[in-house]
Amino acid sequence: MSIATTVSTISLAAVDLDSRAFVVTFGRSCEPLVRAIGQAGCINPPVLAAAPGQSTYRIVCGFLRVQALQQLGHTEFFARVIQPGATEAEMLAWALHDNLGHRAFNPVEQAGAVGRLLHYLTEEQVVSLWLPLLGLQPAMKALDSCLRIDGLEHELKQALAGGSIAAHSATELALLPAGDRLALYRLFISVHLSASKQAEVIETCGDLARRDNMAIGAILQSEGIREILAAPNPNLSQKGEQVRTWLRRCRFPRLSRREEQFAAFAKKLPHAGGVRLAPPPSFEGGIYRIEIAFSQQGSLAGAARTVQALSQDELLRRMLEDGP
Amino acid sequence: MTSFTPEHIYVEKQAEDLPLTRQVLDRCPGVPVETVPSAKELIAALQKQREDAVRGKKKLLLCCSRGRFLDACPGTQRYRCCGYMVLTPGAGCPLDCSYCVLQAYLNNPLITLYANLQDMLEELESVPELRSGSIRRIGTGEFMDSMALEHLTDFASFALPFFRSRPGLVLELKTKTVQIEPLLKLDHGGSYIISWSLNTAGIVAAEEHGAAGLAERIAAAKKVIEKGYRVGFHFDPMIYHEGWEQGYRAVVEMLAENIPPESIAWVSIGALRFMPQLKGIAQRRFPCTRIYTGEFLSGMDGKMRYLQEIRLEMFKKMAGWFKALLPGVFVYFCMENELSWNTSFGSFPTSNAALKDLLDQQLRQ
Repeated sequence: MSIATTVSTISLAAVDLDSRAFVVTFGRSCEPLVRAIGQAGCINPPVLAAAPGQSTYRIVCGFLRVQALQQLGHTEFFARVIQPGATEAEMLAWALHDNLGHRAFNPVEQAGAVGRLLHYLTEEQVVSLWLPLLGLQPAMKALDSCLRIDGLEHELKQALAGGSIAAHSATELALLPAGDRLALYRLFISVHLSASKQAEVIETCGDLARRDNMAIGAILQSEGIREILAAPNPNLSQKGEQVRTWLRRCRFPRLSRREEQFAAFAKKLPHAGGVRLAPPPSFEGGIYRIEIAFSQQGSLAGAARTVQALSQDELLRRMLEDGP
Repeated sequence: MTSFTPEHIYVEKQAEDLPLTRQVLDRCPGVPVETVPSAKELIAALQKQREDAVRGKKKLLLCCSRGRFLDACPGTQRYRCCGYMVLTPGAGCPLDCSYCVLQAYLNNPLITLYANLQDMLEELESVPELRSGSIRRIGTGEFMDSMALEHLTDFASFALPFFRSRPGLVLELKTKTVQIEPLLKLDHGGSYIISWSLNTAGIVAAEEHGAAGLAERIAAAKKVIEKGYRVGFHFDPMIYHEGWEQGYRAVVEMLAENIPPESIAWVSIGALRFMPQLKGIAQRRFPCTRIYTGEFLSGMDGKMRYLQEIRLEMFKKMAGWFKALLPGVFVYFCMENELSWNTSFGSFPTSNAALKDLLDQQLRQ
């Protein structure tokens, strides 16, 4: 790809800052560039192209640089201006290569790039030629994920670029009706949940909605959730855990009951000496475990006495035979 | 239900002149046929495409199997398994059950028939356990419906001479269809057991897309029994849903009313269980299904299973109904643990080999 350019001095007033045809940057601040250009000048001139049929220029490369120049009060700047003849597809490719050469794209930028490339290329071409350059697997599944993200509302894209929504969560949210999606988005920016816990909450809400024939938005408006979110004391991580626990109890009522029953039962058993009776994982099968926590050899003797007591405990015997 | 006719047939070059390929193509006049140099490369190319576009259950691949045709059932770890052997003359199924594990298990999105069946017979001839009689039960229903493509393949007729030459060895043909006509004319000599997967009428209607109705399946079982076949029934997967109790009881009652107990070789029971990745795939393909919203937890084998107390609730009822309505019929669990066995049947096979022996014994009756 060879595109002819000339270096010219361009008036900032002649640049159409609203045209985003080639702008791939999303969720990045121009502040570092303001500082750098303020001290050293604009070392790499932005690349512009004349807007078709108009007297203005579109930014092909260097949107943040132009923003920084504007903030610094420049009225004109050196730019490389693309000569007539270059196609839109070539200019988009230039814009992408210009950025990919020195930084990794965030998921919103990857998605935006894919969305725009599809104006000029087939899906197969984008998958095989561009997804690897964008750091994605060359598979249709990855392309579909990008398209889902590209179609998200602006505030969700901001949350994704800012890290409060995980990329996997964003692609799952994109599959939901808008009301449900925004309800989950509002939850995720109200509490702190890791990527895996966000995925769990989305899945749990989806299951509850499907099972109970409710909208996710209605589930998240439940009194229990509202109380958790409105409480003044817990921090965002603690609130996130409380929401998860509340949803899990709704999703797994029998398991939750079983866990509570077992916890109540275990309290009645001898437990001195750091001895803890653990149920079978997922209450599957009949193998129980005893955990002993100790830091000194001497404390093991106390634990041994507790284990001995458990081995003769009538309550435990009955539970092992009949269940708690 | 109607017989499956593919919309498109891929033929691997190497399989082009094999008898099964010629036969299938003769029976699918007007269907576009595309010869491909390599099935493996075709599948790899299809995997790059959108799942919806290729997993449409409308395309058939005729190719050569490079692997073994006969293998041990994958079973599962840490649960009791029955030592079943799986024969694989193809993979994939034109029926579309929302719970089908093949949605997540198979990489190949095409309904596939292996045309090098002569190689299959040669392999079977060479298996020492088949000669010695230590393998007694083989089935073709693991990776496909045994009868759904029979109108194209005549597999039962093709394989019969081999199985008839091995007294004591049985091939189980497991299906949700009623395509039994090809079986009715066979001089089977007891070499085949014809089995149906059964579920409640509600699950059949809502989740087993393209399969025959419940009453149709039982009527088909009656027909094959009239031709001297023994039959099997598989309540697998049992699904905990609204009305499950009345639903499953009604099916057991239908069996008791229609099927002579002495014609039933075995009945298996198993609750819905699945690899974790199946849920997402199935819910995308079947947006209305609710079956994955049960209380599933990771089991000892890493598969998702209903909370044990839910399974026990279903199993105890089923075991009780069979005991009351079809006493003497051999009922066993597929991939269950000691607690399920003891709670439902009051006994637990001491090993997988012991369960295998129990099932093999049913063949002698």
